[in-house]
Amino acid sequence: MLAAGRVLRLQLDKKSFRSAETQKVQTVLQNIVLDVQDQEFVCLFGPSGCGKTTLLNLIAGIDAEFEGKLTFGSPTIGDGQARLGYVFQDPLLLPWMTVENNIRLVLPKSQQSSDLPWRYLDRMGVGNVRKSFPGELSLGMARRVSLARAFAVQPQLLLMDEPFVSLDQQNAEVLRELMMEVWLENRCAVLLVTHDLDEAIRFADRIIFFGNDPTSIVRESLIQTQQIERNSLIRSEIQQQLVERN
Amino acid sequence: MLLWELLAQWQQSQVLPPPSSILSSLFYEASDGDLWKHLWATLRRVVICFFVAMALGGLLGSWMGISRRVNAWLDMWLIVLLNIPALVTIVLCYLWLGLIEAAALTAVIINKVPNVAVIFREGVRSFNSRYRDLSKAYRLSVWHQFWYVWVPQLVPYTMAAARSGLSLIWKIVLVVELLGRSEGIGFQIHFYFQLFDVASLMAYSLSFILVVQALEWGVLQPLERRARRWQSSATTA
Repeated sequence: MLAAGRVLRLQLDKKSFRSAETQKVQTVLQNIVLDVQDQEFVCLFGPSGCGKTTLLNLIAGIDAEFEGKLTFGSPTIGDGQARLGYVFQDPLLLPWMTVENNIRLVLPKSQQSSDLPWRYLDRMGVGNVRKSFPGELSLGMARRVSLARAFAVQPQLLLMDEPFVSLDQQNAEVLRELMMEVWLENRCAVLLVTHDLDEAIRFADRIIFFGNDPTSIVRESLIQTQQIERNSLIRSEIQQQLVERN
Repeated sequence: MLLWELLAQWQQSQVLPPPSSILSSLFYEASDGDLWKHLWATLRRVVICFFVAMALGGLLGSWMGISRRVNAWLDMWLIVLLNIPALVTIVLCYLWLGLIEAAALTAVIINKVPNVAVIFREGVRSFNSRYRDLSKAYRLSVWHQFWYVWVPQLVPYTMAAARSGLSLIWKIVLVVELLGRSEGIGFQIHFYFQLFDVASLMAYSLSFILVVQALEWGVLQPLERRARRWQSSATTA
């Protein structure tokens, strides 16, 4: 059992991969303890390829092979699992299903008849493509659908893996704003992976810095200023403080 | 067709009847002859063998695609079965089970199952692992994964197996009928071959080609169009 208000505790002793070619075992993540509180926005910041996505996949249950313990706070949905939303690096919509059915597929039974999911779609500015197939959407639109899908399940914990990467700057900026607005309206615990420090500063209540080899937590920084107050000036001040503290 | 008609009329050869006499023979067999009885007998066998072979082959192939161990066990047998001539299976089935309907059906099914299994195995092996990640992260039930994530990925393979299945099965059914049954298109072809009545022989063949063509246009193609709707909408976008 986790303490009240805690959504996740990951105690990771070791995560290794066996190289398919050389059969050598390589440890990628080591000695990581990660707690997430309800409604907390946590950004995982570190260089590309350091194992941040692997960490999210462990939490999502996609990869169950690791040494350590993963516990979710109540209420759980059978088997001690939490209801998760996951925004992958690519939108990952099933191409043979309409946008509507892609979202319907992941909805829990209790929300099948609710119109809330479709409000998220409207909120993300893609309410008009509900009957379209993913192949008909641009990357930006597919990303919006993917974000709407993740919010639509009303997750206890929302995982996001660089959700704004490979979008043009303008599109990414609009989507960042939208995501923040929707999150502020429906606060849930979030773990967002990024290698863009400004992005982390913009969203996070807490930034966790990853480094070393094998990867572990280098340090953590809390950001006290409310998210809505963090304009570009304040963000650069925070960034400076973070760099100085390092 | 016109050239064939003229050539046949001019040659007056017994082995190359003109299209007109094949058609008149077809009309005669349909109205006064036993065409419907034999057509039905063959069609029934084709349908039974088709569905049983697709189901068995689909299960076997999927299982081999999912499990490496099962694949290692069965791979050799699959290759052996793939390479046994249809005729050998048919003769052995008749010898072991007797000249009965069950032997005929079993022989056709054994001929087709490995073919379907190979196609389905490839289908399962080509599954996109990212969709599995999605299913796990969003905690999809086994049923939802099966029906909405796996089955759609198998559709093109099912269509390929169905297409090649239908054509292969009906050809083998004719051989089975020729060798050991007393009704069906294959039996009739054998009968008219002995009478050297090439026009009736071709009329019976034509009747079943028309049936298979009707199945292709009336069932397989509409099904495929429906399943591939999402692809065509993507290309017109």
